[in-house]
Amino acid sequence: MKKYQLGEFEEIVMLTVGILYNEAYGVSIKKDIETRLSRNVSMGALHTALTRLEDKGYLKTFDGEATEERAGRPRKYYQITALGKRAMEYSRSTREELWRAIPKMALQVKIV
Amino acid sequence: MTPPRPPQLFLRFFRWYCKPRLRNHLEGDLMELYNERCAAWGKRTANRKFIVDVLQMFRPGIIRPLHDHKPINHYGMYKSYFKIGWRNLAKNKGYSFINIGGLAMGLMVAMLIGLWIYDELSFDTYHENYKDIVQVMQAQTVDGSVITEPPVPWPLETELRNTYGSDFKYIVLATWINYHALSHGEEKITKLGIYAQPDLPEMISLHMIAGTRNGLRDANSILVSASTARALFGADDPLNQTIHIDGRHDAKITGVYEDLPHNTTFRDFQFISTWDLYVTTEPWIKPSATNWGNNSFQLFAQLNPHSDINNVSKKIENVKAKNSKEEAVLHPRIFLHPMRDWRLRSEWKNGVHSGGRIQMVMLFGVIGVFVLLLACINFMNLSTARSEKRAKGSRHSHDDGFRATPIGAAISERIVSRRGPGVYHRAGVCRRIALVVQRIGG
Repeated sequence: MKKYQLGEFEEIVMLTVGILYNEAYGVSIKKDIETRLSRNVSMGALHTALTRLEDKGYLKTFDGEATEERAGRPRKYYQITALGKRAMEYSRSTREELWRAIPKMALQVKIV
Repeated sequence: MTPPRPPQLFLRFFRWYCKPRLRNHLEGDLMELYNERCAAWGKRTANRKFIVDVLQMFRPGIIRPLHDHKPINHYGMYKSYFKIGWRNLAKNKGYSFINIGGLAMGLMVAMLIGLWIYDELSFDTYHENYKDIVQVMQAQTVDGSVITEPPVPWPLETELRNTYGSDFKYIVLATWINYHALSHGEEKITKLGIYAQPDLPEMISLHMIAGTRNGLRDANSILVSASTARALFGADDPLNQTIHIDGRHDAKITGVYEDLPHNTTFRDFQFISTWDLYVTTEPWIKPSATNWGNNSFQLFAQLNPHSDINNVSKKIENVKAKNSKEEAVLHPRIFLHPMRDWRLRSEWKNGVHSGGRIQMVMLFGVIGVFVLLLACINFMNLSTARSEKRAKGSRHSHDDGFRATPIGAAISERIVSRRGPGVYHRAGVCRRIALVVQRIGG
């Protein structure tokens, strides 16, 4: 089913936007992912993902204040839309279904 | 101290390739990170990381398309026009009502008058030989004044046919149009009809539904209009049926023709029977064949293509006076009255053509033009007053109520818009409608 397309990185971005709530903009999302998941996030990858999610209708934006440290450029804050929420829930429920479907034996891997 | 500046070359590169809609806040993010890194690790490291960021962002999702946004249609611009126009209308409902209602009323009156004039001017054009058909008329002097009327004596027909036959394609002697009772079995109806010589159907180019235009060759025949045929026979085939006229004589239906349209002189009669039948049923007619004094009949004719109506009129002018000594005292003058003048120019004053219905047509035409003009002036006045009021609230004193740059228009469209509505535009009509809506909106 191609109802809700959400890639792995996209899902992480969505979740982080949720975590940051009203404070989610480019730099803050990047930092949050980097500290929580200890992985490097390039500006390019992050903004491509954000733009794509916005185009899909999973995220909406509102303009923030322009500050001196940003050389007068406004922040663009992201928020999860209702459709975005449904996509996340769908992604989560399919995961859990798959988890439940794995027989217990399969996960009892002995580490010798 | 001025804040540290990132490598300008890369910043310019970023600004060049980035999608316009992302540019502002992406640059903000870059600067925020840069400033932070400057504070944390110093300018060199920050510069290096800035360059890496810029290069990493050089990817499909962020690079702008090669050409600037190019709308493939003008939909956005028109949408904006209509929206603004509509909102202005809705904002001043009473004013809009008066303005549009007034214009609509004026247009309606002008259009109705126009339709009526068109109907009058197209009178009788149903007939294919419209240009060549004439009625033979007669002007006589009675008690010092000249009376011009259509009735002519029968011998005139014979004389024209024998002596002036080369000028006419058809000559048709006919009765007046009168009510006659038609019956077939139990069915009895009363219809207006005419008795005429056999060339009439051909001359006035009747559209035959059944039978042919030659159907009047035999004396006891009749052509009926489609509505007459329906009234008498319903769905049955009327052809070759015999009907009883006025309870006195029988005639066989040899043809059915399409009803003549409303704007024809001949629309009145619903059937055509033959002149010969008329003569046999009305014995008093017989002596009229040689009597120049009995002005009781109508005479129609179709000129030959090479004959000029004025020349022929001049030729036949004295034909009656020459042939009848007794009638000559009335100074009978015979002339031809062309079909194109039947409806609108059929009045004579003392023998001189004085016009007719055409005067009414002209009068109404002038009234129509004036009503339209008044409606337009009124509309322009109200619109101008409106836009002046609007211009007061505007920053630009030269604002005439139009927007100089339409929202949603691409650059090429803006140029057209500045030049005004007069210039050629490939969607000119639509554009003008939009401008009118905007105008109405004031």
